[in-house]
Amino acid sequence: MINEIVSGLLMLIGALFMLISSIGMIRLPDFYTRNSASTKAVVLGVLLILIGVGVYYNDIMIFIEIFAILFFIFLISPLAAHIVSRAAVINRVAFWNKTELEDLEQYEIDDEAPGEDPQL
Amino acid sequence: MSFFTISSYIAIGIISFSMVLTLIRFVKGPSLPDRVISLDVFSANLLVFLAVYSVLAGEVTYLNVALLMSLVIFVGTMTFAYYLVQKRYKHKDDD
Amino acid sequence: MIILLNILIAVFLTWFSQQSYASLPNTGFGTIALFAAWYTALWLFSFFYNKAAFYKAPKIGVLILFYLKELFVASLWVAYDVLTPKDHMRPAVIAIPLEAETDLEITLLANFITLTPGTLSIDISKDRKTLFIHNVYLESDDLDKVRKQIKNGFEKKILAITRNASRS
Repeated sequence: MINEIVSGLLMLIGALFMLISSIGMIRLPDFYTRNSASTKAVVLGVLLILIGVGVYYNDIMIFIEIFAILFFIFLISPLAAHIVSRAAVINRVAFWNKTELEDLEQYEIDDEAPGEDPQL
Repeated sequence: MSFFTISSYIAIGIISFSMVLTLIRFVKGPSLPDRVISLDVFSANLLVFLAVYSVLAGEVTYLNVALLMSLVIFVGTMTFAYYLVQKRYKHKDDD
Repeated sequence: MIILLNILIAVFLTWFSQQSYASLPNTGFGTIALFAAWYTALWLFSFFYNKAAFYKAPKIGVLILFYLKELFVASLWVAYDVLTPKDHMRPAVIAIPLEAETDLEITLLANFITLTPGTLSIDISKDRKTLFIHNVYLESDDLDKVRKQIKNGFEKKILAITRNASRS
């Protein structure tokens, strides 16, 4: 009985975080702010909801599986955000007009075409 | 209807609504990276949807699908980023 | 590495011994107790071959807890940011000089930066000495403050773990 209440609350809070990330996808002004906002809220929402599901099942095999999912998400989600934002900077996607861009002038895009093994 | 059933139905409703919101950004997005990250958030929503649905349907098998999806999401994002970088190198004389 | 191996051994031993009545309290306490037992055994044997792994483990635990706390704070900031009008946001691109050198250190640092409040790592320069990050909440005009915060917070903790490991 107490398991069900705890897991229900965890799932509701996690779903609220997913909703917040989606509203942020619509409301925030800029690609970079959208990217940084959505990554964090999505990771926390997935964490909470999967822990809720695991508490409901209350089984060790399910816990191992959920641990694997969380491990991949924690490993992959910042990496994907980093890769996409790097591609955006290389493609010169516009920043928001309030952004301070002093330090970006040090950054030089290497224009030499990569060989057979391009480094992403 | 216990508290758990009601809350999982509400959670599925909220997740579906947020999937619709990410699709709006997917249609509207001014640049290609916007669409890529909106697709990423959409897939994460789908993963969570599968997890909650496995609780409602009483089938543990859907969790395996969620485990596979957490791997496949990364491949899609990676492919699009690779395409973007290569496109920049191909068309660098344009700007 | 040896710590991870021990955690894995503890989890699987608990699983095999409690397969019939596995539940959350049994599994959790069993895992913790078995891990403590393994850890003591490791400590006893560590006088023979390697002491560094023993002293490093609490630091890894503290780092993981700190990471989870930062993730929670970051998500609350995102929630506040999304649900209020967006006048207070002042994004900036900041260049951070790096002390971390190897691939593992830089990867860990970039991943940790991406999940802390308001920051997003964009790219690393060609000579691997500067990391460019995008910060959303820039208070005042102090770029150095943000630099100092990241260098003293995450980089120190990561280097304290990896440098010891490479020496032993």
